[in-house]
Amino acid sequence: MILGRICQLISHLPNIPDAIYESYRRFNGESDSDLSGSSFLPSDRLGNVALRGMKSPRQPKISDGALTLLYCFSQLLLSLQHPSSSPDSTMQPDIARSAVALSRVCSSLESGGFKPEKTVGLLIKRSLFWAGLFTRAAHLRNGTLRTSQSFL
Amino acid sequence: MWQELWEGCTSRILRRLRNSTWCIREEELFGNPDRSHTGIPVFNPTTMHGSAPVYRSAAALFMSYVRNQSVVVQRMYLGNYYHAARKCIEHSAVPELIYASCIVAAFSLIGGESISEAMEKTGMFAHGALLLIQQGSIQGDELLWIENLWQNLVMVLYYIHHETVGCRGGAMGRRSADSFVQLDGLLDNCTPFLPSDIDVATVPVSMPLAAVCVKVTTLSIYLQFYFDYFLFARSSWNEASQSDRTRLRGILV
Repeated sequence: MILGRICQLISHLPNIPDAIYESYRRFNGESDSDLSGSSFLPSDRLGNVALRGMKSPRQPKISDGALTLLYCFSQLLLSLQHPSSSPDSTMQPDIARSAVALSRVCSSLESGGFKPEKTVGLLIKRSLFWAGLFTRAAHLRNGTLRTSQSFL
Repeated sequence: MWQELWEGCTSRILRRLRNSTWCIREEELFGNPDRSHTGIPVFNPTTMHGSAPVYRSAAALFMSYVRNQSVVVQRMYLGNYYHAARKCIEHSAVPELIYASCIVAAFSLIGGESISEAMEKTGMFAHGALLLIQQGSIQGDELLWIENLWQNLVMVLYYIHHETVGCRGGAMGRRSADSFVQLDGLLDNCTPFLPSDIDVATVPVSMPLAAVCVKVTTLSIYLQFYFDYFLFARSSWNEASQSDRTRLRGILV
C-alpha cells in the first residue's frame, strides 16, 4: 500500500522520472541475464546518473536525489514481494534492476558535490546495504533468493 | 515573546532553510546533541496564534530549557501551559492549543524527561490536529502546514528513538519493545494523514509541488518506521512471527 503510493506520487513530480528512467536504463548489450547471472556488477556499469531537480533540471538538490533513491528503494521492496519471487527461483530481473538502479543513484549522490550531511551518509549507506545484498547474492549464490524471501 | 525566543537562541542554530520547496515559513532549528544528531525546527507563528496566552506559556517553557533554567522553573512554565490549555478547551479555542502543543512537543523532544513523554506530547499535538482536520476546520495551505509540523515532530522523534532505543535493540529488552509499541500506536492513530489510493490515483496536474512532496514525506516516514520495527522484531526475537510478516506486507505492499 505505502510503496505503490510512493512510486505513483514520485512519478507525478517534474523531472524526477527522467532521472529514474536513466537509473533503470540498460547499458549497450546488457540483458536481464547479465543482471541476474553470476557476474558481480562491474563498477563501470554504475555510471553516472544525471540527477534532475524538480525546479531546475540541471541544478538538483539533495532532496531531489533522495526522491529518486526512494523510488528505487520502493521498487526493490515491491519486486521482492512479487509472487514470482519464490525462494527457489532465480533472482527476478526486476529485483536486480532495482538493486543496480539504487547503486547508480548512490554513486551519483556521492559524486554530485552535495554538501555532506550525516543524514545523507546514512541514507546512502542503507541503500547500498540493501542493493549490495542482492547484487552480491547474485554473485555468491548464482542468483537464488535464499535469504531475501525468508527475510521478508 | 517570539522575538525573544528568536534572538536568544542564535547560538543553537544548526542550519537555516530558506526558499526551499520543503520550507514554507521562516524557521530555526534547535537540537540536543545528547539525544540525536537532528534538530527540531521551530517556526515563526502567525500573529494571531503567537499572541494567545497558551502559546506564550508554551514559548516560555521552551525558552526556559534553551536558557538552561532549572527544572523547577521549567515545571512552573509547564504548569502555566496546562492551565492555559484547560482554558482553551473550555472555550473551544482548538487552533491556538494546537500550535502551542507543537511547541510543547518540541520542548519534550529536546528537553523533556523521557522519550515516552516526548511521544505522549507529540500524540497530543497529533490528536488535536486530526480533530481539526476531521471537523473540516482547516483546509488547503493550513492543512498542509499542520501536516508539515506533524512530520517535523515525528521525524525528530523517530531519530531520537532510533539513536537511543532502536540501535541498542535487544540490549534494552522489554523497554525497547514497549517503546516501539508506543511509537507504533502513535503512527497508527495518525493514519488519516496518509493519502488514500484514490487520492494518489487522482492527483490533479495543477496540484502544487509542495503538496505532493508533503504526502511523499508522510509515506516515507511510515515506510521507514515499519521497516525498522520489523528489523527490530527480527533481531530481538531472532525470528519475526508470521503475523509480523503479514502485517508488514499489509502496510507496505
